[in-house]
Amino acid sequence: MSSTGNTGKSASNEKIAIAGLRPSDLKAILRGDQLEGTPNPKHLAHRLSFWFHFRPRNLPEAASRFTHTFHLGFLIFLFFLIELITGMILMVYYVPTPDGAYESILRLSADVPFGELLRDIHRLGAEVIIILVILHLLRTYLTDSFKGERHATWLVGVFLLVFMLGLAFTGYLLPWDQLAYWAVTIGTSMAEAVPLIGEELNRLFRGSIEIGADGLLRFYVLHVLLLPILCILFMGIHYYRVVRIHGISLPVHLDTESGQTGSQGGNNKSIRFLPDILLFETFVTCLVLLFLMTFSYFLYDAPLEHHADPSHTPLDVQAPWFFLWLQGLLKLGNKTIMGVGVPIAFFLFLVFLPYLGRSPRRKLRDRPLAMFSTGILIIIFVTLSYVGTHHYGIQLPPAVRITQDIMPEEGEGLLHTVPFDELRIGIYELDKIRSSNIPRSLSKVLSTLEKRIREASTDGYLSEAKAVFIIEDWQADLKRIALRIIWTNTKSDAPVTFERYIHLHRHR
Amino acid sequence: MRPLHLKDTYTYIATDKVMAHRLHTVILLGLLATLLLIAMVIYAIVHEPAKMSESSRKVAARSIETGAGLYDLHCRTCHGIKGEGIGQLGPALNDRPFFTERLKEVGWQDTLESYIISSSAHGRLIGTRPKYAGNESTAVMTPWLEDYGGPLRRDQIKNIAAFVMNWQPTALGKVELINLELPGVSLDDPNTINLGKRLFTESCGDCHLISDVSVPSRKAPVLDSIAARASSRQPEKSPEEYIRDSVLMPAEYIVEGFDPEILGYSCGSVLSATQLDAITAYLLTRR
Repeated sequence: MSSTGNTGKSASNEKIAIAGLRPSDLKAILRGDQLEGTPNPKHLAHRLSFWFHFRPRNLPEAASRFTHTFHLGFLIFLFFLIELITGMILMVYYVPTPDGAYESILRLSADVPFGELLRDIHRLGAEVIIILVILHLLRTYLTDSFKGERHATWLVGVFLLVFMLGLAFTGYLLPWDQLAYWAVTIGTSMAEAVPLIGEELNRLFRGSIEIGADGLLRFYVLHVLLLPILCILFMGIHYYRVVRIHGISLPVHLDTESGQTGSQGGNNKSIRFLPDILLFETFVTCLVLLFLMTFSYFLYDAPLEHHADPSHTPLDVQAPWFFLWLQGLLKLGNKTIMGVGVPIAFFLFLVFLPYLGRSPRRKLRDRPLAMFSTGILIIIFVTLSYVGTHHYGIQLPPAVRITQDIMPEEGEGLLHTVPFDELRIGIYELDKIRSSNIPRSLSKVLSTLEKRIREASTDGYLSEAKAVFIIEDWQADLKRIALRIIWTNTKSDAPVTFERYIHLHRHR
Repeated sequence: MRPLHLKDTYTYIATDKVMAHRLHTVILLGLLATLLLIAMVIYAIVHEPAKMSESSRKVAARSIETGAGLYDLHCRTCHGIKGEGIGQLGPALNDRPFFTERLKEVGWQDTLESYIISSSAHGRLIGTRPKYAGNESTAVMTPWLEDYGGPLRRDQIKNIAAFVMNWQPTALGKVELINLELPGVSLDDPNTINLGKRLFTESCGDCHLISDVSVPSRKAPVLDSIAARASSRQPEKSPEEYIRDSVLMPAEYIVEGFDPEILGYSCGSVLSATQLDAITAYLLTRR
């Protein structure tokens, strides 16, 4: 390269701009020039700069291919960083007491500029991390990059998985709404099932018999202090081992026959950190920020239900999606075996995985057992998650079920799809409706209701069932909607009524 | 130092095509993403005030919704289902005087909303109502906050206050509500009569006797043929009116020989309009 020679000499008196690099070096690097001279300025950056000294100077080109690692590790780190920053700002406004927590979240969305956006990003980012962590684990397992010298890295990774889930779980309680409170109550109830020390363990988490002020504070401290510190520490170890001890594994088809899987392996085509990897990572960071910003601004709202109420368990309580499998397990059997035994067994299985099979063959098609067991495990987790939802195994009385689907206690039902002005005042007896001038959105609710009632009637759950839907003007911009289902008790021949009403505000 | 020329990048591509091409694309796309991100941030900044006020509206709306449910559970038995007040038991909360006069009446210095919150939380020390019509006791608001033995948390009391405050537009005549047209109850409807019979047994049968329904008692008149007698009791009233009034105000027309002292219990105050209709319908069948 023509420009490289003079960079070293002519600019020798230039001041250092950043990372031990002179401005001219920096430009040359960004241009993609090969720098020369001893010491090579590029290597100087890795030696002199605190930030660059973490990073490897070169990586095998094959190891950094997108379709090999999908850069999942980097993405997790990036999202974790975003969580740290947004979390730190959210901490300023959050009050970790049962009286103040919920209100501080409301204040965040109403009174703090960008408060709602920050919370949305924090929540969305957390859910994305869980997905990325699972994918990272699967990628590492399926490309067989966890055995031999990598076993300790894998172990640290398994702990990181647990910490990440812990962060998600503890963070889930903090808004102190019904959703959070009851999901976490179910979650911590598993601690109770631990033999011998269950009660003490439960008390340790909750601070008392029920989750209250003490429990919230404990979850808060875990969420903002202990778990992040553990994560940072373990991420450091994890990364150090990957970069300094064994390198990123190479794609299987390029792997050397010696079985060496790292960057020290036989492939000698390499890619420079400066500028290739750095630029690529900056690029990915831009994309991720753009995604998070756009998605959480337009498409994602962090959920917030009613204020936590320890005296009222809402219907259809459901854990967050990443813990549904656990709720499914709890539904299937004994709390001690399913709630404690199976998760611990699975954790131990992951811990000892590197020592289970010691075959040197890495190609997935040579590892039928691995392929098969991964498939089975995914199916099991998906099934368990389904079992965990309220659709499985919980039989509400039919009238309650129908009402719950149309106007649920928490969250939104079919009724909430009707615009406020189309909730026309009136009494709608389902068997007498002439749908001529009912707004379409409302008539959709009514026809769904009618269909459900008819089905329940013909199936014999609700004999001779009738339903009345009453919409009243209650206050300025407030309507009260009552749904009354009347049927005949087949045993006593007496009429039975179930009624629920909700209030809907124009600006809800 | 040599300035950077676009030409250089091309020379570079020629030597290491793959990497340079990748670098190039990455820089271009990255710049594009950054520009989009900046645009997005500017968009967010511009729209933030509007978004915040929309959020405030939403928070207030949900507070009113929640308050409406809580009011229905805890407040309506004294203040009426729509805040219309019940006799001397609880004052109306949906009328003009409540929003214009109440603070002066009690000498409250702060806002009406803070008055509602404070009264609900701590109760009122002295009742400002005249004596309760029934049993000579004074109806005084009791504390509702859990700290003072009530059932409500502070946030719930705030929600109720938000709901009560939302009566202001209608109370001051700024907003007109649409009335729900209720279907008239037919007093001849056998279903209504059956419901009345059941309610009578549950609520009235303790004192009043109807031969085939309740056991004898000397506290109150036998109502076996009340429909026939009702027409002669008060000449200016129809039998239906007489029965309704007697249910609502038992002390109004005391039958001779019965002790007015036992009428501490207000029969009608625990009935809904439908239930009153049903009981009237049933009693009108007793000829």
